[in-house]
Amino acid sequence: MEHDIEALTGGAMASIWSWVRAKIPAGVEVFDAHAHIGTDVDGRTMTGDGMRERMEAAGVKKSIVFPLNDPNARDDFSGPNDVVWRAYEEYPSSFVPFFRLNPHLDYDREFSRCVERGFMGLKLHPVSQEFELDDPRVVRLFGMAAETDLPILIHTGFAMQRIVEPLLPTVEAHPGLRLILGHCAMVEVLSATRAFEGHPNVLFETSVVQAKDLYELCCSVDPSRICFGSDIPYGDLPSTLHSILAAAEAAGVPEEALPGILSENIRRWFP
Amino acid sequence: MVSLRAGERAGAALRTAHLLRIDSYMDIAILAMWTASPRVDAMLGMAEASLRGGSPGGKDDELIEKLRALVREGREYLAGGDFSVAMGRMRVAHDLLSLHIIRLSDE
Repeated sequence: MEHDIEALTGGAMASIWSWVRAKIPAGVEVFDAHAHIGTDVDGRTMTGDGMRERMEAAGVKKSIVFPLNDPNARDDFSGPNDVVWRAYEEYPSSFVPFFRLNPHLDYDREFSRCVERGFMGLKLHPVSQEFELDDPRVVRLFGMAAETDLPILIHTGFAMQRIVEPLLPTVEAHPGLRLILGHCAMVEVLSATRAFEGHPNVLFETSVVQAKDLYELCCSVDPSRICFGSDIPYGDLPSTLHSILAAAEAAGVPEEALPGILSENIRRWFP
Repeated sequence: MVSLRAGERAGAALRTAHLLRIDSYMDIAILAMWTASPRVDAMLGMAEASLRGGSPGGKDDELIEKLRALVREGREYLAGGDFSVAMGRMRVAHDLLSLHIIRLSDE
């Protein structure tokens, strides 16, 4: 079942979804900063059409999309990157296309190809591609992105064991590099907010993060540094919207900050 | 000796202890789902079991009633092969519970 908003919002979820809808400030065009299109080695899939249907059903206007850990990635992810690009060409006002790379392999050609093509960012997954954030090949890639002013979304969620300590030197060396911490560095969330507080180009993205982690995030960092994400197809829009809105409310985040979290903070980079 | 039944006490400590237990079983169930454990249905069954009966003094019954419905439907959707819908319900249940405990700690 690729998309079924009835199942996601009906039954015991009906009152939750009503609460979420009422909580989203009027006029806010929700921007999902973390979603996938393609196929994963674990069997999960998402198409551009499926993504669009989910967005429309949940009232989401724009999504950053990038490949899954695709079994057809071969050496350079060029095939899965092309799938994302085709979805973007079909729905240019809905999608912000990011490409994906494997830092272990020769990435220069695919990096240049994707930048020249117009991809708007890069996704890196240290767990799936089995690398550390201070691996020299990765540090070089961060430098290339900084040089071309290309934002990077890094998976800093499930199964991550080292985040702040290996990443901080890069953030300090490239203060202009725009980084989205996918899943908000959840296992180190408090130390991450402390380490990156003075680096405004680091955003904390909230997809499939437990509300108690998000509560700590909301209590520890200015809301202008937080952006909503769903991680479709691993997450879904109703439950991930609920997580951040409920955590923000419990943490006492003012209502005026919600448009930023749901849309404006990430939209500054992708108007 | 005074016999104390859970239903007769409703101090914040006992309420928190009861909810923390449920939170642990939710954690286990959700991890079992993420990792596709062959025992995932049993783990979800444990989470359901932890929600049976009333809360200490009945003070958290309204929340627990909501959680029961979410976990029951989550287990049904997972059995039907819809991971995403099942996980959505489990995550929402877990989040409602966690934030309730956080608020209780501040009462």
